[in-house]
Amino acid sequence: MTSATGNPVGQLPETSTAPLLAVRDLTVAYGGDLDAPTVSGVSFTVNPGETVAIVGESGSGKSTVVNAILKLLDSHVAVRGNVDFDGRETLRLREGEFRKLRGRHIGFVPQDPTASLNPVRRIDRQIFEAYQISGLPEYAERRAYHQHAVDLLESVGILDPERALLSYPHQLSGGQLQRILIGIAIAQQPRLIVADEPTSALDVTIQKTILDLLDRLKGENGLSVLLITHDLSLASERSDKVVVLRTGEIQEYGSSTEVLHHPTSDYTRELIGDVPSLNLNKFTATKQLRSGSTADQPALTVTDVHKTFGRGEHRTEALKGVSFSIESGRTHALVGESGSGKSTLARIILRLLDPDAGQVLVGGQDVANLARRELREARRNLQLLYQNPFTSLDPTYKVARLIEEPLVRYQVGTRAERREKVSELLGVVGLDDSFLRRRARELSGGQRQRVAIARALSLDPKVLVLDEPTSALDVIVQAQILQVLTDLQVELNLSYLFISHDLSVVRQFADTVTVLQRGEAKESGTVEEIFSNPRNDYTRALIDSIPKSIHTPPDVPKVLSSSG
Amino acid sequence: MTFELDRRNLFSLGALFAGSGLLAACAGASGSPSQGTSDVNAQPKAGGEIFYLNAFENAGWAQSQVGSWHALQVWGLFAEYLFYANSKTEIAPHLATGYTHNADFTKFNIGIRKGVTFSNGEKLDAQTVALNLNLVGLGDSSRAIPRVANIPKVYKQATAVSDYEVEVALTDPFPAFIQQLAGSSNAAILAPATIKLPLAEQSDLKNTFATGPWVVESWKAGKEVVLKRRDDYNWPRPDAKHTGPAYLEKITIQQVSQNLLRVGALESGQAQVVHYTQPSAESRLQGEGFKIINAFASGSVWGLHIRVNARNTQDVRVREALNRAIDRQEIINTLYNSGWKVAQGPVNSQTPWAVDLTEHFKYDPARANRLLNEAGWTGRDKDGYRTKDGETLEFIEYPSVFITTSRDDLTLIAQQWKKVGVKLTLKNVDYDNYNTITAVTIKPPVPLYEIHWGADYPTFLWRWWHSGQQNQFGAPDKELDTLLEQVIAAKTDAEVYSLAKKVQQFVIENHYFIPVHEFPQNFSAAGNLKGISTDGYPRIRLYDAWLDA
Amino acid sequence: MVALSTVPRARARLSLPALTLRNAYTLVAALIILVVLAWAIVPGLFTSHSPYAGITREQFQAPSGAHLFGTDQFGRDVFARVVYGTRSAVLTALVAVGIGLFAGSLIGLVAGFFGRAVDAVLGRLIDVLLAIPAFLLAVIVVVSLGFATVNAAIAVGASSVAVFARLIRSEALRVKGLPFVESAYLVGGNKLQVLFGHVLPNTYRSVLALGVLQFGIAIINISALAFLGYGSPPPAADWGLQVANGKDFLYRYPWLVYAPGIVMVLTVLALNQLNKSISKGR
Repeated sequence: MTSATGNPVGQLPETSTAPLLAVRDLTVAYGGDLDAPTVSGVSFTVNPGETVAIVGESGSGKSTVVNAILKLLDSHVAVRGNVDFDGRETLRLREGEFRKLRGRHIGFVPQDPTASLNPVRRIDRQIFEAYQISGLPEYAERRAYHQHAVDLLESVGILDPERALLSYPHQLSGGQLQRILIGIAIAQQPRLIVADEPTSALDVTIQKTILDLLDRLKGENGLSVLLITHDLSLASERSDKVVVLRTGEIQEYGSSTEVLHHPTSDYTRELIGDVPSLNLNKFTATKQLRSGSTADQPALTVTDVHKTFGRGEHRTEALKGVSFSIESGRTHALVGESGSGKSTLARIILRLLDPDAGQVLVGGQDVANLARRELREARRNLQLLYQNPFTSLDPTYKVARLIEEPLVRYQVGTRAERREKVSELLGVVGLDDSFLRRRARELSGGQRQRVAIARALSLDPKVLVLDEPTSALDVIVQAQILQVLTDLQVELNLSYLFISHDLSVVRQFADTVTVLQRGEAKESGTVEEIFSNPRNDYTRALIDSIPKSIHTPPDVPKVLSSSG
Repeated sequence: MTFELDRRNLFSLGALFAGSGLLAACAGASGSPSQGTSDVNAQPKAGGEIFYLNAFENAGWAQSQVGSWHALQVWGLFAEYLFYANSKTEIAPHLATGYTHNADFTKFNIGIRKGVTFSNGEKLDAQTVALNLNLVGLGDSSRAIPRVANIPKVYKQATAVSDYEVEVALTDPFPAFIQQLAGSSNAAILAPATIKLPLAEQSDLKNTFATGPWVVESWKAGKEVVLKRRDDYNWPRPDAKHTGPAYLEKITIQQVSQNLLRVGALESGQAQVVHYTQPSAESRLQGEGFKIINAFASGSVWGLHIRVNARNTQDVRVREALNRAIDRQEIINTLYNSGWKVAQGPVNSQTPWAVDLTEHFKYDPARANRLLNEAGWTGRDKDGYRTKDGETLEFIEYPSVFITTSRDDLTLIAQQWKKVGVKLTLKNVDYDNYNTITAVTIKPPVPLYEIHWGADYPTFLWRWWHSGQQNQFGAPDKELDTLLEQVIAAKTDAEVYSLAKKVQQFVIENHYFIPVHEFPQNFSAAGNLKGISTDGYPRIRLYDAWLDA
Repeated sequence: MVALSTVPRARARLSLPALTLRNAYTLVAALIILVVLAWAIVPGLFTSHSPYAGITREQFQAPSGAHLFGTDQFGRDVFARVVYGTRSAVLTALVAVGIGLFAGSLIGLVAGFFGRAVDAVLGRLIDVLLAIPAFLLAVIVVVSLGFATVNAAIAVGASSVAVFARLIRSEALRVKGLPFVESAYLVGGNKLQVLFGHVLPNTYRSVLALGVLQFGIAIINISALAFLGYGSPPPAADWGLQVANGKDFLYRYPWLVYAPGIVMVLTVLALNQLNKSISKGR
């Protein structure tokens, strides 16, 4: 593709040193009062051909910054500062004027590709529409649209472009859709692409290919990229400059190497300390405090579990004879992408689903074949920590009642004893009694997940199934929760089945690992073995998808790895 | 629907109508200023069209369906009777020329007027009258046409003895047969072509051919009836002020059920006559130059029958207390105007055989309280109502769906009864179920039942109250039955009247009936509609009416 | 362990002016409802006149200091009748909403929670009820039960059963798929415990909002039934009956209709506003 010459804002030669996008002192206040801003004093520049990453946790204001730049904020939101695109102030541009820039000169790749395409229109129609709107001379002829679209999809790595063009969005995978969206953005030959967490809704192996695609296109077309992400390691791997945001203010701004190696703010230091891929041995010290595995038999043994969904044409084999076991007091990880069967397996272990065949032994009992009453007893030994603490706790319950509920259901102890136990459990997960009377909806994500842990522990289970327990949480909170879980394992000799798609966390947290792909166990062994010497292609691809910690962080404060 | 019920229904409606006619007659007799008699100086002009607004309009018009005060007003404009009651409530012949009877009142010979034709061209003669009378007196079970309940059951047969004379034979003596016939609103004379039809087709006004000064041009069920003048009409009643065709060319009768809207239409000139004006609007209308007609039918008193077979109504002391606790003058003062009168007995003061029994039920709360104490109703509940053995002294009443004023009347009575500790509870019922739910035969009986019927002749008292007839008191003393049997057996008016007075006396002294106020048929008319009047039933008379420019 | 920070509260301030305006409406609405409730509970505090005993010499008086809303054809104080009529309006509407809410919740909850055949059967029942216009249904019920205030309440309640059932069914469907419901089973809960311990409480907010809305609708429908003569008979102090009674005098004495009518309209509007506030989460 050629660069956009002959259009009013495309005058600058690529050699120009003037920044393509310059944000100066950007302040945004949703309430309209600039003295109480949501984002304040944000300044940075994006040079031609450069990738700049804005890094921050949820609520840091990174999306607000993007929306301000793209002029997507409501009219009553107060905005101050300057945004220059290609030497032209755009913040105070009329909507009609700015619309000529948006899409045409500033492309946008959204977070969730499935929500960004019209579900009832074919892909080709949606691409053609973009061609039409662009008004570019290449797209003057309607008859050529189809060929253009085929070329476009090929260039973004769609294997069968003809078929994809005739599909509706629901017929394509998330990765394919994201490629198409990137394609649509590229088609208009923009100079800047804003990518808002472009991979967070995608599987890990797909994430890497999408980011690779963006990198490649950037090189081919001389694009600039503004990448929004919560993942510092990803940011440092993919970008030239990093802006670290926290509660609407810049904590750190500089070249990726600089920020990673010589962080100047405490927050950045903490962030670097908590990124799993940068701290693969974070919990090693704590884990060494665990007693040796003493019991003769494993805490959990899964043997040859099969599960098939549907029948006839729609028959899907979700699990094809999976086996593994967990030593007591140890952590076993199940790794795989969505659709690999790891969630199905977890649900079978908890007997929320019945397996077609196979055994699930917990404390010597075959959970998979227990009668209802025995199952109820067996579940005392087997509890689940959910992925999303925002939906796994009943919002109408107070914390005390949430933690007490299992005790009440199993009629454990007297009311006073239960109350004492609740208070104790709350202490164990690092919360004090002031939380007892609060409702789940008044708590932050991390607090909720701690309450969920306390609830899961109230019946003194031996095995805890952790279903991606941190994937809905920010990096720092994730580190805290993992720390709590590690400490509890030391203290209570718990066994964990840890389900995750994030291999760096698995590397940090688990002892042994089983890699699942399409219902089959591809590889199994200790974390160290698997990571250092993957024997399987799929495993290798998974490990490759971990952002390269090319920059070894020099001075992560040790204090962060123990409880503080 | 049972035959009995049907009859009663018919009768109540007919009596309602008839009552209004009588009242009008009486009002006329007593020189009521509301009568349309002040147009003497102007010359009548023919032509013009008027709108007449009815509170309720029939969906079907078989003769058996025209008993209500509402329907009868319309029916009477195009259907005529052998006899009628004039404004002095005297029976006079119309389509008949007169009658004779044998000594023991089992045969009546009626002369028929000559030169009368039905609107379909058929001639009125003895044959057609006999046909009509036999249908009225016997019904036709093969067509499910009921007999008219007001015609005594002793009716045997009518035969034409000559071209213009009909002989009616009875199985047993019934001296007041002609009076009873004249007071029956369902006994108009219709063309043979009409009465030979099946019942369903008779209820279609298209098929109704009669002898009146107007004929039905078109109609819509439950909505309107349009009448046009019959140009060959020339057989008005003897009391008419002119002969030949009527003056008004066209009369459109429409149903407007909202009281307010009828009056509003009159005031704005969209209607020339409205039936049932709100009493509260009367003086205003009068001030604006409209004519107010309050015509009192013979008999018609608004009051409450006490069903003495109902709970807590057997004790005459309780019944008297109910009667004594009503301040009738307050009701008139509050709800009506000076044209309305308190009742003096079961029939109104214009009735020739009326008797003033006011002393027996005069407002006397102290006496009412004493009587109730004596009857053992000495306890009080938390709302101040009397109790005995834990039971509250409460009577339930279903306000009549036919009477636009009864809710207000009853509301005030409830207030007045409360002062002596008696609870009157009103219950709602809709038009279709009213007759069923208040029927004499229903168990348990309702304690109170409203009437405002007309009684052209004392034999109507027998119809209402005899335990073998309508039996409105439920289970009265045998002595009343005996008295009523004497009424129908009596051979002269004087004898009948004196017996009728005894009946009234008995009913009031035993407090079977709570008379409240006399009930007029009430019309309002535009000032430029001259010559409007009412007859003895009272029915509105528009034959002499004309529009003044 | 690392100390945890509390949830950032910055967002609470986001749209302050809009919040305030809405709060103002809500405040006015709440005040109106409070007054109406006070009328219903202690009518005697607001008027010294009797709602039933008329002074016959004081008929049709225009609104004045002595008679705030004037007097009717019996010389009864219209304000007193409106105030005393509040109790029957509120009580019957409460009964109506109670019936609709209880029966509707039960049907909706069971249908949504148990699903399958139960849902298919109850769902069709709900559809059938929804297909009949609510007021028509109420009239049918009241005609078959007989005319009385309680029957009017039952009729109006019955006519709103389907509305509640539909909402609660969909809420139950939504809630039962949430992880915390599954979690409740995992910690030993049985179906009934989960149904009443988790699913029911989580449908309550939307049900409450609908209940408030239906309360207003019930007031209108019950008044409409009374207006048509299907409800309280005279001399009851009843809003609908007052309007029906007053309509005969509308031209000359408009306050007989307007006073109870305006009170009714304000009450219902206030309830609507409260419903909005509740469903928007205040």
